[in-house]
Amino acid sequence: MDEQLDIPEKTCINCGTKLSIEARFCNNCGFTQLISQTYSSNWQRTLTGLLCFFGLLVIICLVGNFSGDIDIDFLLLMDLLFIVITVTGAAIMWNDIKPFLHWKKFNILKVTGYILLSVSLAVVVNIIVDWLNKSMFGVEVYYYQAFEHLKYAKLITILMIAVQPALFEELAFRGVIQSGLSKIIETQQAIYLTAFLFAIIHMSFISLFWLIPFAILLSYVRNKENTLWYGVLMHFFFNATACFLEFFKLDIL
Amino acid sequence: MITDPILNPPKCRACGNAVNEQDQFCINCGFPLKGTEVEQNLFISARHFRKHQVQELHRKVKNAQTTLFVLSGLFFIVGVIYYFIAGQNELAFAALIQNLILAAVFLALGGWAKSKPVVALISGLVLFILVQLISIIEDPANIVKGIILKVIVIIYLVKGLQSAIEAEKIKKEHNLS
Repeated sequence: MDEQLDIPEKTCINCGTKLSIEARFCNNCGFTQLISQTYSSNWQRTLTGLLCFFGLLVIICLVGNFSGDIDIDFLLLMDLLFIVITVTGAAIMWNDIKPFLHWKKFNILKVTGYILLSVSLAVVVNIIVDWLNKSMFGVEVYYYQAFEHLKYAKLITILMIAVQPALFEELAFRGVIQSGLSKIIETQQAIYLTAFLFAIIHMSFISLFWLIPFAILLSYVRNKENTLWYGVLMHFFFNATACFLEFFKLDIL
Repeated sequence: MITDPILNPPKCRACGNAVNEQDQFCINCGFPLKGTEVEQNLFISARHFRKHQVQELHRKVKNAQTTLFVLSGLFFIVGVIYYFIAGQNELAFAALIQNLILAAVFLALGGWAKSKPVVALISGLVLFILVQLISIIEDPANIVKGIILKVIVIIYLVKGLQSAIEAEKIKKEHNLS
């Protein structure tokens, strides 16, 4: 925000007089130098656009989550719709997202560190969630159940639970939404809002207690490293760990 | 006006910022330093009016913040009452936990709305609408339950959000604190 304030030398946007960096008004003509994104009509248009994008994703997730019996064709269709909307959003915001698709400073130590972090987080979260499910609600929940009757059930589980979300949820949230929000609100606020939206789209309010911190971590890493790929890896390994823990519990590893 | 420029640098009448003798306008607030009396007075009254406007907008933001706290309280109370009415079984316990977490989230958003109203109110509004959508999908009859209250909540949150955006805009443009 307020990019005008960051330019070392500036001239009045109305009369062209040279101004000091901290001048908020021109000392020659009195014209405001504070016209930023906050003022432009772009601000509200960007916000509305992002909320519409998020709204479409919410509708898909609502339909997917509450459609009653789970059928693989239907899940695939919902995933496909999610991908189409995400890619469309990314295409519209291409110039803002493009820099984040590069991976300039590839660092194997960082990669290992982030992967280990998300694997250990996944293990901790799964232990807590299992304990909650068993001790409070007396149920055990498995993603695998939706796919177990299929050929290559484990592979499909990994693809649907770990690969697809890692790529496209990251592109949708850390890509489209976080990049869009960073243009209109402060970076820190963009991180929190992206994380919040990402957490609530999972439609499980009980899971918010771990979803929100994990989402903040992903948004923060995307902002710190200026690339989506660390987030993609972390997201993949987090979800894949959950899948493998299921396979392990179901004794089908 | 006779002032010693070193001991007592001239200050802007509108915002109190130190100004240069040769400036036509204050670089902090845009006050016409070399303007006529009428121009200067007009500027000051406009600045007062904007401050008043911002205060008025803050009142609406505050209402929205209160709405978030009320929502937090409602989720808490309704959750607890429902748990005891529904017979304290596992399903009711799951609903209780869910309501308590929503109460905590709305409480946190209400607190956050004090320093960052725009982001907190967007979050609160989106979450509230999502909760309503889920409850409607679970039982379509829920759409009419408490419809007036739900509409009032949405109106307060939307008005608060619009006011927060407008207030930030005015404050930024005119450099009001």
